[in-house]
Amino acid sequence: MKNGCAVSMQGVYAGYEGEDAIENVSMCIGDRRLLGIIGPNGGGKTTLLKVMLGLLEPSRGTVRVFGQEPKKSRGMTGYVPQQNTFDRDFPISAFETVLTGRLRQDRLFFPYSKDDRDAALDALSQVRMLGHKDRQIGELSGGQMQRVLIARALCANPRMLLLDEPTSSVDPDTQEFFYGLMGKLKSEMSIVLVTHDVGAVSEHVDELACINRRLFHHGGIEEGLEKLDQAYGCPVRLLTHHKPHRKAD
Amino acid sequence: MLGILQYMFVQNALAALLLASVACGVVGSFVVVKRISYIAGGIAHISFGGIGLGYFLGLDPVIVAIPFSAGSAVGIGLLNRFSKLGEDIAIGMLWAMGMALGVLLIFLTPGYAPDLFSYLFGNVLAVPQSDLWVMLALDAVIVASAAAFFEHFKAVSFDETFAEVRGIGATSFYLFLLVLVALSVILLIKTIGVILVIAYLTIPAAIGRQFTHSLWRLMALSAALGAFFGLAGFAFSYFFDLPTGATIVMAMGAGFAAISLARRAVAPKPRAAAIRTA
Repeated sequence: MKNGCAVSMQGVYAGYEGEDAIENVSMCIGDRRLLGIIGPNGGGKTTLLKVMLGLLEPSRGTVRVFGQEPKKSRGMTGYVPQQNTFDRDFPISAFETVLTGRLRQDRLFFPYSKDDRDAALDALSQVRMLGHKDRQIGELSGGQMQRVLIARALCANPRMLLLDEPTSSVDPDTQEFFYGLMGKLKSEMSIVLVTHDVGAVSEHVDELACINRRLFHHGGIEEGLEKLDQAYGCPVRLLTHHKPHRKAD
Repeated sequence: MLGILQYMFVQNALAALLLASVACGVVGSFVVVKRISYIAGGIAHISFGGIGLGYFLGLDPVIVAIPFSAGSAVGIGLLNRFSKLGEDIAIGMLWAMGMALGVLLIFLTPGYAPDLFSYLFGNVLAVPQSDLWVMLALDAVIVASAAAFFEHFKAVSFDETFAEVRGIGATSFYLFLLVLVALSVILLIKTIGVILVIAYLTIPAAIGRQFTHSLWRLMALSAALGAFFGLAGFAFSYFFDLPTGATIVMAMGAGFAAISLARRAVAPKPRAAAIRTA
């Protein structure tokens, strides 16, 4: 790993159809840190995530995840997508969904071993969804589905977890559980959380990055919140009434 | 009444219907859960170009249509994925062009194409023994592929992006699946015809998914339903002297309507959609 960065980016430009959604982004995401990436919709948050996942090649610049190209480091990355990206009617149970987190290209016929099944069950119990393991995913609430998707990402023992708008369709209880879980997990892995929900995220993360095409800030939370106006291009209602934020050391 | 079973052509027809139901169950389930019925319909129609090519070259149209359809499936899949045309536009154009190519090649072939109609609408009573072996071989390829990569197909069909991140080649499996669709089309061509084949790849699985949330059970159930409607439609068409392919399709459609309505009447359960909006 280079310079202790889980993810390092140098002058990265990336986007679709020749138009860059992010410009000149350079950052180092520390290992075992909980980073929140915030920014307006269309500001390039998802693009940034896709670059880290190796789903999108940067048009310029270099990206390294644990010192490797993102495509090669995928085995170390757990991904939790937004919930609206797949079909809730699909005939698949919560357990089967989690199990796909262990799937490997090179195993044919019955590709899951007992280890895989045990890992999936462990991950389900970690998110307290063991009791719902046989439910078809369409029968789960938004919060339950979210837990299943986190379990799916966790069961491959990733060194980094990337989450795209993880709290956008969950109830307050799940949200609390979610941040509790992230707090526990960050002792074992880096966590990158992309959201437009500035309020909740700023209370729970170690570091904040603000992106709106360019990276406006990456570091402490207080300064990050100050820079938000700049990133959004208009004043953001700051949440000064909240308890003091933990200092990002 | 069972006396008709002693005729060779009836035995062949029944064997063809049973072989057809295997592909219908396995591939039809993927077509339905991955919602690719439109592209599957496109592949079916494009395969008529391969039939025409077979005529033109003076070879067995079914054999020529196998590589033609598989190649077209890969082509349409790539076009779908990487061109900037809308998905439906690319399919729509190739759909008609495949048919047109078939018509032109048959027109340019000297002589008369006597069984042309059977490729369009199927004629299960005229399936020769040799075609049964081709069907058996195609079934074997389809079942072996689906068994080897069942979990991969399932994962990719469910959440392509996640599978890609896991290092599963989502595009490769998508193209592989379209090739299996193409093989199913060829397998079904003599039974049901390119125009009606999409019924086999959608209706039994659409009925089946109302009864199970497990993908492999859906395949088994769809295959059984395909066999049931195939045989029932065949019997009906035989005794009432109707075109078999069209009768089977209508039997499937009527079965779908009856079962869906009956289920709604018996168990008006609120769908998960209510939660989803949260």
